Amino acid sequence: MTTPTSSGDDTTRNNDEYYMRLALQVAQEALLFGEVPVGCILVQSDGTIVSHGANQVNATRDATRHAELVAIDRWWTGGVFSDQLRMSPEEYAQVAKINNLQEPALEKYFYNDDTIQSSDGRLLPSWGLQKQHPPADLSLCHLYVTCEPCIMCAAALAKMKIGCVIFGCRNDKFGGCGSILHVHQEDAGYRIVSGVLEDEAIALLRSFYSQENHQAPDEKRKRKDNRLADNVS
Amino acid sequence: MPFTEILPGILTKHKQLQKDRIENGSAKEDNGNHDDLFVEAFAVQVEPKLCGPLIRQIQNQQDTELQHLKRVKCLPIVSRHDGDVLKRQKVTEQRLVLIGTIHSECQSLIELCSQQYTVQRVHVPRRPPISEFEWNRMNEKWPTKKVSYLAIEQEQEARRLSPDEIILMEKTIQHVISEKDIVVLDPASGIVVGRASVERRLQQCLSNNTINNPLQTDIIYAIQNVSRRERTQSAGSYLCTGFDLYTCQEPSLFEGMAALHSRVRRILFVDKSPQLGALTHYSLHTLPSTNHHFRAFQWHEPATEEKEGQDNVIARTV
Repeated sequence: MTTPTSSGDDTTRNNDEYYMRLALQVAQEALLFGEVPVGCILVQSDGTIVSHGANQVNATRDATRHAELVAIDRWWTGGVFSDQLRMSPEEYAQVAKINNLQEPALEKYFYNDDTIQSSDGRLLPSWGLQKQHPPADLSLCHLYVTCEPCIMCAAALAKMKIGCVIFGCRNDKFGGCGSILHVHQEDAGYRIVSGVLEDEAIALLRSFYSQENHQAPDEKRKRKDNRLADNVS
Repeated sequence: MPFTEILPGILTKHKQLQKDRIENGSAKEDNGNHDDLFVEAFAVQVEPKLCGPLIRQIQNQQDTELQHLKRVKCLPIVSRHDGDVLKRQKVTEQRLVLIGTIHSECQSLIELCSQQYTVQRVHVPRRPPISEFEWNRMNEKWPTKKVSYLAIEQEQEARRLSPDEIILMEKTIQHVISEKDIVVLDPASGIVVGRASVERRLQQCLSNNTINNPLQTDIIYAIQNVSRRERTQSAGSYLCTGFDLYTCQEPSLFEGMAALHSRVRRILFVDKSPQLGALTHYSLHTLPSTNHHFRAFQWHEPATEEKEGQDNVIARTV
């Protein structure tokens, strides 16, 4: 019944942290586009990364475009679905205009993300649009996500019969894997591992929420920063 | 009135008690027989810092019998005489965490807890209080949530559906049933702003895979149709804010939460979900922690109206 378990041996933990760093990198990209920085990586049992996803709620005006659903949809539809299907390039251009973003950057984010640069400079392969992985059994997959899946995503993952979900920080408002509901324990359920690179995930979210308030008066901003710092420590 | 509002379990219980009170006067609370007011229950004694983890652990047991009770009772700090001076000793404060009543199915939980903690038998109120007097009485034994009946009555008054609203709701639900579609309606203008069938057609002509995508259900299509409108028409709206979702079948947890994230104003459905429904089972629309809440209604065939009227909370108030 105790849900927050950490990974067993060192190798597993190193593996978890390796993939979680990639998920954090995906989340970081979302931050650049004014999205809540949550990212995820879908990994098959042999270690192949088959999909990834970051929040696209603001860009698509679609509240179901959470990182986990984006990743699954991208995988399921061979990369067509999550991004291009919902918006034409003209629509993206419009969004870019509204959000004061440059179009080429958007293009990179939404169309050419089949490689991603790792922290040591290597270009990591294969989760984007160019190399398509046919949908297979999700029960053999692990999902690495920077923040606990919300109830919607937790239910979606249960519906897709995911094998295991590894996440960073908890989601006290919406969390479906222990914080608000225990969706992962219902029916067949799935295994969860929490707290992998938790501090990094919190720091990333904090950077978003502190960024959001640039319009606020100075004294209020400081107070918010302090409060966030307290929460994190 | 063909609509029943889906209320969280505790509120339904309050309304029933309120009805009883109106029908039976206050005799029930003042008859002096308080034995049936309390029920035996199990609680475990823990240190304050262990309260949080323990509650998280037992929260999963969604016991509706305990909804009117607070989970934790603080035990008074023990003070003792030390010579002539009464000194308040620095003793570790203890808390009692409620696990379940003797009637609830919590045996496995109690066994699990008894391995780590001391399990005690306590007495807790069987039901929510129906008056302040009763609430005070109950609190002596176990911390109980206070119910403001005046607030409930005022809220009920404010939430009363207008005849025009009911006509629009009925018309739309009839349309949804006849078209076998899912519709998002802007109640202010009466215009349909999203349709599952439209979005499904638009998406499926671009990718065949979407047909088999288990996550693309009709409710999701309807919500995404609203998003498409917002993107393409610069509609000036934010997601489904202020809009009502009409569906034949109650949303699943996945769909219900998608609607919640989309900030829908109301969900109206005809049939209860055969699995665990987001509204009737999980009361997703009234979860205290979420940043948005909405109202949910089930529609009944007019022929069965009279029968259903017994449970029909709104019908009594309209």
